[in-house]
Amino acid sequence: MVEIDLDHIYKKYPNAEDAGYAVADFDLHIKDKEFIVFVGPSGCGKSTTLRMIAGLEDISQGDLKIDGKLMNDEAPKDRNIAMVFQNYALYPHMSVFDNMAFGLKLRKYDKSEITKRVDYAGEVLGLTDYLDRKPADLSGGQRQRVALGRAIVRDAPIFLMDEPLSNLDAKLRVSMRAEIAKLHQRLNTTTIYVTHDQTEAMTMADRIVVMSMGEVQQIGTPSEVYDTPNNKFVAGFMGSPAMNFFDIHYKDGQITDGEGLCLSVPEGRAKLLNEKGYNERDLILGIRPEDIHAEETFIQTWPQGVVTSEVIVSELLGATSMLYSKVDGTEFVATVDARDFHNPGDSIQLVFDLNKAHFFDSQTTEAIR
Amino acid sequence: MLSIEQLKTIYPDLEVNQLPHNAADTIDLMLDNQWLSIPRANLSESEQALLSRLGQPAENEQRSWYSFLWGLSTKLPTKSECDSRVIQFQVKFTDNAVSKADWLAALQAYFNQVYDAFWTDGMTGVLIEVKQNDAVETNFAGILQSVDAMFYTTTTFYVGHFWPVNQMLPGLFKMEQQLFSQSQKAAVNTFSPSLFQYLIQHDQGVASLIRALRVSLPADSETNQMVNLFFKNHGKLSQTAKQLFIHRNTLIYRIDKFYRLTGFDLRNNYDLTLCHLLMS
Ligand SMILES: Nc1ncnc2c1ncn2[C@@H]1O[C@H](COP(=O)(O)OP(=O)(O)OP(=O)(O)O)[C@@H](O)[C@H]1O
Ligand SMILES: [Mg+2]
Repeated sequence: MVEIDLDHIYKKYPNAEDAGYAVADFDLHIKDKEFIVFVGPSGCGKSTTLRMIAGLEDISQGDLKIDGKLMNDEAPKDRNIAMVFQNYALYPHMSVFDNMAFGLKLRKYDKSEITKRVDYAGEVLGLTDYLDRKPADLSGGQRQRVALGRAIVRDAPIFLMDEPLSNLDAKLRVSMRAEIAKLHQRLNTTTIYVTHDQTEAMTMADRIVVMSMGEVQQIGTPSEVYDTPNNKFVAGFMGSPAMNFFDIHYKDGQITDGEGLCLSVPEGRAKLLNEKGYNERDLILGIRPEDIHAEETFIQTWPQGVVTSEVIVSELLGATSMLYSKVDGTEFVATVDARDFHNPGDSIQLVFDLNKAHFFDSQTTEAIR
Repeated sequence: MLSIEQLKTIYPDLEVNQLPHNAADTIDLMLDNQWLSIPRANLSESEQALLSRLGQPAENEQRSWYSFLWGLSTKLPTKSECDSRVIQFQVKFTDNAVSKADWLAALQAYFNQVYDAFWTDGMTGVLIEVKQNDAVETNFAGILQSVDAMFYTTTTFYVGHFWPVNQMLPGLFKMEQQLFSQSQKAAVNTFSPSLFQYLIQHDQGVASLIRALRVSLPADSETNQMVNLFFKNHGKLSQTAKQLFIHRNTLIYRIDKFYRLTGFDLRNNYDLTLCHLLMS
């Protein structure tokens, strides 16, 4: 059993004192066998946090515990962690077997133990028939699996992966994503996976930690983070295409942008806004592309939600298309049926499903809930 | 010195490995970048003494490459005609149990052919790589992260330029050390960006290095035109190929050839700019 506690962890790099904290107040309890994904834009502190857990960077403040034991000053090798990085290189002259066995040989494991572990990793990764091959005779995906195999043979209960797929082409990335998820189910290791790709986070994680500028913005399951984002940053970062935002004014159950956009807020939502003291105040409206509809039935059943906008461009994506349009100068995108084709410049009626809308405080950008 | 094959005929139970065996019942010796281990059981006392003496890594002062690069001797450390580049590394260890020899062996195994590799002090060392005719770009970031993952180390690489092994080399190496000591510390520091950084901060100190670079680059007008057009076109392949009246694949072939010849990759902005400045 392996649980990891990050108890109000801070990091300040000694050579960058004036830059402030690279990571601030990181607080997370990771459960046994959990698959945690750290996601966020470049420079937000994902790798720094991972390296503190691995012991490759000092922790400036706060406690790191593994199974309740304080680990701050423990050497990396005593933390029982296997790591996979974005970049890897295989030994060109060694067979797949030897590439995976190399680290164990260095640690003077005996031959039978090495063979046992490498054979097991080979089997888990579907490389059994390739153990004698040289890296040059493998496909990109197989090579990536050998790199994973090097971590697997360590037989560690904790896996740390820092953007392991970001060097692969898009197609391979998608298949390796599934491969790693399968691997996690099979090996049952407690895993922390770092990525800046929100799709990877959404598809792989048990729980996602969304970070920005060194601070945790939200921790939750993929659906929690997607459906009930804590703030505008999380709302905008998770989801593709991204959520649309409008600066609006709220008054007595109506929202307006001061020009053409004027909508009724469903009763329950209006009640909440009133209770929270937002009547007659500026707000940010957030609405996901899939919650904007072009179908006639919506227009008839929810006329209070109709927005008349001007089409900029319509992008066909198979069954659906991305309809980019603007209202009063604010651009937004809607996911609509592919048959709903519109020419640039067309005027079009769209329904905003405000039951699914998100409201954010215009000052703090926190979600109003 | 004997070859591995010759040794094998004398000691049939000899094993060849990527790593030292480090066991009490064998003697390890390093030959041609590989570790040989010979069981002690069948060896006489004097053979054991002799072999373990041979197997000891040379002290740096006795290393011809160390003496040469650090200016202690002018004797060329190799008769080979192949160019070499010095890769300097700086390693932060977190695990005291890691042997420096193992770490170096793990690094060295990534390279096809190495003139020598050794530690210069507790944290830093050099690897002198032999230039290969069919060289492809080395994935230094990958090597670094793989070795670091294996040993829980944090490594910085300073990758020099390929130079001929002649009496100029120690001076050029010294200048490279100077370049790298001033470069912003990325995990992998390569030659061209470090040179630019240095030139922006200084106006002297590397004149003979620049001269040596200029001499080392091809001087024919075809190559010259390719480099300069490729630069003017911001590294766009199709556009450059069109202006040279050659097929795009021909241009790619020539760029690859240029890399094999000079060690500069024109697809890298720094390398392209540097070559353009040197060749125009
Ligand atoms: N060794 C270091 N010394 C000083 N500052 C550093 C160091 N490493 C990282 N930083 C800074 O700490 C912050 C967080 O960096 P980190 O590498 O953790 O980000 P990241 O989320 O992993 O980004 P990316 O997606 O680009 O990998 C950044 O501002 C970065 O510049
Ligand atoms: Mg990172």
